[in-house]
Amino acid sequence: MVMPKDPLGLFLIYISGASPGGPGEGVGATGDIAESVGITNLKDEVAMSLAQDVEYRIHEIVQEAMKFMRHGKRTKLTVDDINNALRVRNVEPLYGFNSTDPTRFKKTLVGTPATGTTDIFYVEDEELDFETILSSPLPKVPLDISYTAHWLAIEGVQPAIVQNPTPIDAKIDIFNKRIKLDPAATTQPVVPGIKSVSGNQSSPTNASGAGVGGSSAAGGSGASGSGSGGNRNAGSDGANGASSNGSGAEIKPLVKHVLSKELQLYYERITSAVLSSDEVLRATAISSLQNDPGLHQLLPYFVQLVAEKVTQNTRNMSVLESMMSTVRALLDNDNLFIEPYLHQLMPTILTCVVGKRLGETPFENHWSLRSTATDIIVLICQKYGASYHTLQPRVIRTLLRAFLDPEKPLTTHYGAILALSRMGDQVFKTLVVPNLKTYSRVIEPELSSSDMDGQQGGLLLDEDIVLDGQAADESTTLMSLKKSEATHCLGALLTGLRNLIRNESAKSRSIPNTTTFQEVREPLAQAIGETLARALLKDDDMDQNVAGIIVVIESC
Amino acid sequence: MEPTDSSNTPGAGASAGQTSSTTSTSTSAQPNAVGATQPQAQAAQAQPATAATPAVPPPTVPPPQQEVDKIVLHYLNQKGYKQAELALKREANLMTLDELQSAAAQSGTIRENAEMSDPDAYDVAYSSLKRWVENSLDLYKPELMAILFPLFVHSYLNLVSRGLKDQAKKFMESYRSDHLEMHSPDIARFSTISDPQHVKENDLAQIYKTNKYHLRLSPVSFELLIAFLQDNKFILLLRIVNQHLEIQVGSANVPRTGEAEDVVGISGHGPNQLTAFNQQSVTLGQMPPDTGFREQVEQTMKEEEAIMNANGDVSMTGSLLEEYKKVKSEAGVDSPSRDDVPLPPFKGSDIQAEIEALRDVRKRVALGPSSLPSICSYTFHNAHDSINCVAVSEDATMMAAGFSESYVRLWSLKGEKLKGFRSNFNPAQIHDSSDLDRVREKNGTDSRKLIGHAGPVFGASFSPDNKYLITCSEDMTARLWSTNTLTNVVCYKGHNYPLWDVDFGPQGFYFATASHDRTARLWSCDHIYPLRIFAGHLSDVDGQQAVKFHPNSKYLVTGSSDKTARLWDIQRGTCVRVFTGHTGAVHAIAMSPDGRMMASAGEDRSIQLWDLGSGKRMKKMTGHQGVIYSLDFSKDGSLLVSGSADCTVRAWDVKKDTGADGSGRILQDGREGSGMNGPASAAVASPTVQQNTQAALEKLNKKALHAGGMPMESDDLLASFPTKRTPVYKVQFTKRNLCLAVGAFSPN
Repeated sequence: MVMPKDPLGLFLIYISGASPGGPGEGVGATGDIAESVGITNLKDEVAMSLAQDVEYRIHEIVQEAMKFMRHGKRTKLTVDDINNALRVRNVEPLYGFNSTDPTRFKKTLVGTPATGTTDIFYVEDEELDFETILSSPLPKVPLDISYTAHWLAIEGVQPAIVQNPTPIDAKIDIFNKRIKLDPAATTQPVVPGIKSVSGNQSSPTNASGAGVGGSSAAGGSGASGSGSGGNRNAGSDGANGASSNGSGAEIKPLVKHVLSKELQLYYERITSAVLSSDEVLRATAISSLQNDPGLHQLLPYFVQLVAEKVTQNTRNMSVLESMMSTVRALLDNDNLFIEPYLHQLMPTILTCVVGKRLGETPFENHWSLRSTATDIIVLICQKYGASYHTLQPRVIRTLLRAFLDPEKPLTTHYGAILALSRMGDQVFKTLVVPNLKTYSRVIEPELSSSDMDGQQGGLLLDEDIVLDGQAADESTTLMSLKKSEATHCLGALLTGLRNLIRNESAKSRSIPNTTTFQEVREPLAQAIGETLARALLKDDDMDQNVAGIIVVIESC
Repeated sequence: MEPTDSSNTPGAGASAGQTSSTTSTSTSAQPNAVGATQPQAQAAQAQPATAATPAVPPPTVPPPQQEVDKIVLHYLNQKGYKQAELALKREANLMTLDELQSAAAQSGTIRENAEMSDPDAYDVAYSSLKRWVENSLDLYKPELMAILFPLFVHSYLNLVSRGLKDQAKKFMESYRSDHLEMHSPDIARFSTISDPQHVKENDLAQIYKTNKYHLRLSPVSFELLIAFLQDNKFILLLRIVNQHLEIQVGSANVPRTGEAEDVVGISGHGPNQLTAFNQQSVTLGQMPPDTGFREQVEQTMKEEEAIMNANGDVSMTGSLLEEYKKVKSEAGVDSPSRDDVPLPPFKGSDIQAEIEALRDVRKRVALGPSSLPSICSYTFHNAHDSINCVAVSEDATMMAAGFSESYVRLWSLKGEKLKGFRSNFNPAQIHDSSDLDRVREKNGTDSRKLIGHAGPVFGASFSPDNKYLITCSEDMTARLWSTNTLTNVVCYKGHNYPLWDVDFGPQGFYFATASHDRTARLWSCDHIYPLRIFAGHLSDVDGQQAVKFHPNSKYLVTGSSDKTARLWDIQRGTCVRVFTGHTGAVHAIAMSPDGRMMASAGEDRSIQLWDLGSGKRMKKMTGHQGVIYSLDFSKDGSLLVSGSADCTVRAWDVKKDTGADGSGRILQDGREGSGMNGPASAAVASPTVQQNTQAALEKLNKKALHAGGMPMESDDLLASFPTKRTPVYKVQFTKRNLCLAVGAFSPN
């Protein structure tokens, strides 16, 4: 048995080549290292005890190095710390590892599967080409160290300046630390305050903080004290800080103001009232929203609230309805400048129009909700269509896509048809009518698939039933769900068609009508499909509206 | 119990230092105790203490003749006179150690050997003791819990020493979790020990092996424990109790809150010793000013007053003189003599400084729980983790930072340029200060690198008059820099290991260093060798703020990795107080400006407040989540501010929960009797104090457990000021009670 002359050498090679692992790993590593210094037949016991000893020494050195780390006010152990510790222990330091980058160990397998493989750890040593290094431009001179001064506290109160973190930052820090400490916390945040912070920004108390925090983070250079002029370096640090902050929490800047206590209180009251089951309370809250002139500061929070509640509660009709009334109220309030928030509102409202499934069960009366939401969409398009000329086309495109996709459920179709029909005759005429025949093929099978015969189905197509969609409820239990949905779609289409026809006829009243009612029957059926045509012509006044029907036929 | 415990401890056991316990059991002083059928507990108690304990004649006095024979025999044995030894033995019919051993084994301690040979004996014994403690009455549980840790450590070390690696490992893994909360640093170190050789080399293991672990138990618990160990015949544990534990059996009505926490652990002194030790007299009063100096100051004030009067501005300086007299007359009580700390004669500038200081006192903001301080934060940018230490001059005009890259950097905080001297001037031509100004650099710089050290700079401190900066480094030297010439003036060599911290004395002239070599040293600026070496710490003196002068210059406090802080008398060079109670290394230390209190922050992330007079702990404050780098008292002593790696500055209420009346009494005692009669009455006061704090602490601990291991914030945390990713390296109050906080922004 040949022992190396210098066990220390072995040890040094060990620390430079091995990662902290169990003793088992140590044995292999020790053996490999022994081999690398020319000792081929290292016995297992020797390797074992050597590995244990080495492990102990490493721990001792690391313990010592930790002191240097702590005195360097750092939390990351560096090669220099290890070297200082070695020097203190009267051991030659390790040369060749002085790098500012942390040394990364890589693992590789040695040996064939037949003989058994062992893990080997090594430091990757990149090969560098002299030519490229010499020809590459000199790296930038690092920024010189500098200092800035600011008030961390004035008589015990922390001023809200960019140099100081906002309470939210501190909470997030704590939260992150907690996550690190306790992995279980990631799945279930235990602190209620934190949850609301990381999850949303709807509560103004939190959100106001987030606003400030966000503004400073977004400010980039502001993060670390660009406020103090003459510090040319702070900017870069700030930018770093901002980027690293961004990864830590997804808080975006909303506003750069802090809400007054009264407003916060008002917000809380209103939100709870709007969502409450008490009709009177709700009505009061809604009317307050409709008329109160001083709500502008709260607008972003309400918008946020609506967006959030709707996405969270697509199965809860009452919440959705409340939210729609809220939106309606906000839109009705003349004192509010809601335009900047439309982009946030639109998806939410559209959800309520074309949502695949709204409410707990498909039998709930989501039809009226869709109708309400449609009204809001129409209102918005009318009100702001002029100032945002892309608004209406975008909405219509979305609706049309929903309407034309046969894969989409009928509920979505219903919402889309309803909205398109209310957008105006022109829209309906050019976008919906040409597709009616094709579309009737989508709903026809549903309509006829029922065990009830066509006449009964036809009865249900009575105008008053399908128009408001209320009375259909009783029959839904009798009819299959699909059929009910299809009926609703059909009803919506008919309503649209009737409106179009009547309006068109009214326009052409003055023009003498030469075509008779009977003459248009056949072309109409060809143009919009048998089912629709039959239902449409059942109406009493259709014979007076031949002109309108002709327009429909023409536009197909 | 207690008196017998200590008096029964004979020091004759010369061989007790050896690790083998059989040898020590059979020391000559007590041959009968082991051999005969006396109860084990008696034998156990009669066992010798460490070799270091002073020799006390044992109560069961053997015939003097035998004793003499014994000594002669020992002598012969040592000298190797085999024949003579044998002859003497025959003559005296005396048993040798070996024979005693075998005799003991034969006469009834066979079981012990059997237990010795069973590798699982420790496991069995410890686990049943643990079960027993856990099932014991709530009344005694806290006390008995405390005993588990030393037994755990020694069982483990013994297992390792006997080469039973697997059993040792298993033992550690099974039971380490019980102690992690209190003793995680030690456990972490012990768990790496796996070889008998390591036990011998490891300094921590040696500390445990060679020092006694102190505990305080109530008589009932002690009886219960001994009875349990005896009845179950856990000889191995009993032996540990005898060899390595020193159990102080307290009075009958020890409160169940386990107030013993202040003496638990290893301090190098016994608990009785410790109490006695901490009763040494200390003079904590203000240092009286030199009479000549005082007259001069008063004279100058009068003159200024006269000028002011002439100018018609009476109100301001009018009372300054009176205030000075008032301040200085207060200092009369309990003051050290001026001769204790010889200082160089005063200079004219000192007088001006004194008056200026007095003005600052008048402008001082009164701080308290209801009026929190203003904190000015200095944040370094682009430091890239290279700043090791920061110092700010007392008047906040200069700031210095020590770097990993071996240099020191000096900034002027006033916005003035720092100007050194041109390199090419002839010293012979310099006659007065105007000549000097002429050779200064034309354009100064905002900051200046001071290059001289050969290793990372770990400590820096400004002299009170701002003329000098002292720094210390890993290169084992301290260097004195002149802030006027911006050059290195003196290099002090003496330590053999890296220096961790340095502190200038409150009067200047003296400074103290703390080092890895387990000593602190006192230096004066005009000598290149240390004046005093303060040795006694069992481990590194490696706090972030490891050494601090007492405001009256006569004392020094050090904080060490051995979990204690110590107060040293700089005149005598001896330790006069030991403060035990931290469960981790002591990182930072601060002294209250009145010199009565000390605050220490530890690896356990708690801040503890101590009464210097009695050496008792006043309270423990928790809340920080990172290493505490720095502590400072406000100038009126009512607030404590701490800066930490968790990127916060926190303000603590000093007065709260110290047992409002109790602490008052302690303080008064300190003042009246300079701590001499203090301990007696402090002992009366302390149980209530500690009961209060203890109860509060227990509540906190429970809360902490609920909160998932995060340290709970104790009630005395007044405010917490987070910074933006800036660990706070230094907090410091100016004379006007403005708090300065310094840190380096760390983007990651």
